[in-house]
Amino acid sequence: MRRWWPHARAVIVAFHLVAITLSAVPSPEGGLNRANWKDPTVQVELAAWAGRFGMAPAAFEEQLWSVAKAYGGMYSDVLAPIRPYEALAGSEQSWKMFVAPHRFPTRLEIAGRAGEGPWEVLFEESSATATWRRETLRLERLRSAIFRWGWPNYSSSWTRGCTSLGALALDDHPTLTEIRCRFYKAKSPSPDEARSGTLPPGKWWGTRVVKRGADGVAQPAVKAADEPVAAGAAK
Amino acid sequence: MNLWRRWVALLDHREPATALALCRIAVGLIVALHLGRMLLLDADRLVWADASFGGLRTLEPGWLAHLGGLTAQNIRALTALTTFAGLTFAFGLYTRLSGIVLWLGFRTLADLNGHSGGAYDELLKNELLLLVVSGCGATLSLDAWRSGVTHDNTAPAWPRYVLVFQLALMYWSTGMQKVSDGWVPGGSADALWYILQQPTWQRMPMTWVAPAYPLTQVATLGTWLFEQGAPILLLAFWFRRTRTRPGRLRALFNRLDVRALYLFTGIAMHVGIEATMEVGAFSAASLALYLCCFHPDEWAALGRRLGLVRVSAAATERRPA
Repeated sequence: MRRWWPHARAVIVAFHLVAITLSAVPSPEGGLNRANWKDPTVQVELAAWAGRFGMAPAAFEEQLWSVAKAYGGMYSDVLAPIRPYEALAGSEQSWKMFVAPHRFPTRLEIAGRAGEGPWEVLFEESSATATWRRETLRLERLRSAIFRWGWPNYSSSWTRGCTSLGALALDDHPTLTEIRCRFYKAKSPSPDEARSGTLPPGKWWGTRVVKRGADGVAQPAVKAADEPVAAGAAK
Repeated sequence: MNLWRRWVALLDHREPATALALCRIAVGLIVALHLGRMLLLDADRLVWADASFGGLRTLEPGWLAHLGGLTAQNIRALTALTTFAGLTFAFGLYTRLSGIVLWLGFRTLADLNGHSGGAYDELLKNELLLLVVSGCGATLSLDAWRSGVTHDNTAPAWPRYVLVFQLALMYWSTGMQKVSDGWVPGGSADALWYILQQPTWQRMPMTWVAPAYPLTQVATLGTWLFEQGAPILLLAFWFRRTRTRPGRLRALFNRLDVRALYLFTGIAMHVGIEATMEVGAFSAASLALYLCCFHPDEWAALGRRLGLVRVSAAATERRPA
């Protein structure tokens, strides 16, 4: 073996270790979206931490935003030299897994109808009866997209996603003329609420509708009004 | 010997390739099964084809633009090729070539749609990168079988060391980012309770866990400590490697076998995750790295105990690490 190779290899491995370690240092990347910070899940977190620091939630939020922006900028500067290596090697280290529990999660519902007939629920997350394409929609890559669509900053992706799923549903159900995709957003029950069987009330959110065109082809999804939840219909 | 020479010498060390081969088999099968399921359910088109071809999003085609873009046919072909490469990599057939095709194919697919992926993508990409440059096909492979008994079944040990580092780094990083009041000590410790209630990730409705809520709080704190404590795993490896040196902490770590305790806790955590949640290939991809946490001599000893190996395959110096 050439005499220089062990040293070159040692440099490469050392560089790799330094690069992945720096890349794994926690960062606010992906979390700096003010619209998302207005989500009740984030507001609950901010209120809890404001309490720990003895600050008013609004003041804490402003200060945290400033600190996170400054830290995020510094983080990007530090990592700039290793980004080309990451892109080449595919060695990204993004380990943001369940950084915080989603206390106000969304539940996807897809329904269809023929003409002005009643809506028939085709798919609903966690449902044992509305199971259209369940195996596909429960694949981790689909669930990952569905999870994101429930956040405000993914609105356009959600519209596009509903177009695809609506077209698929219309293909699978030739008698249907309209597909409705929407989310049920509600606070998760606390342990006490779960024990007593009292589910917190929720609301419909992000309603989109896909219609079959005169040529039989699905049209792009359009926004529609979110219906109020019927009394006593918490899910 | 100065520090640099010791570093160079460490990376020069060779050992039987058993642990790397086991990791190769696991990772190859994980990717093949994952992509194979996508193919069977026609989900590859939804996730990776462009919106104009029925996909969920408008996507950048990257190098696939030269082949006609992200059409359903191109995506189907790339997914099928990568699945096949996963199988040949697992079986150790043209291992290096299979690994390169698998790595390129998987990272191309995984990077296409950032809205439809997860930590398992990053983990598998990093594992494949290291396995491709390792000698993981030197044993437990069709390549080795075809080469006959005179074949050298050793490989550089450094890819295994780096894979162990990768495992600890992943746990530490994810632990450091669990900053919710529901995770950190002194808070409500209700993170796991609420995560288990999320329709997107739960395997089944989980309100029935309510009577055992205190247990979910213990598990919340345990998970946070386990992840934050990942550097302990690296320390345990160091103390095992330098077991002849003095020191009470070193002796305590080796007497308690902290490495085994840490890994056992990790296995319990992943089993718990799989029993209650659907997080895709993440647990399997993590556990694949556990295979590298055991020295090839330990795998050989296990093989002898199970009657799978008659003599130790080790052909080099023995150095527990």
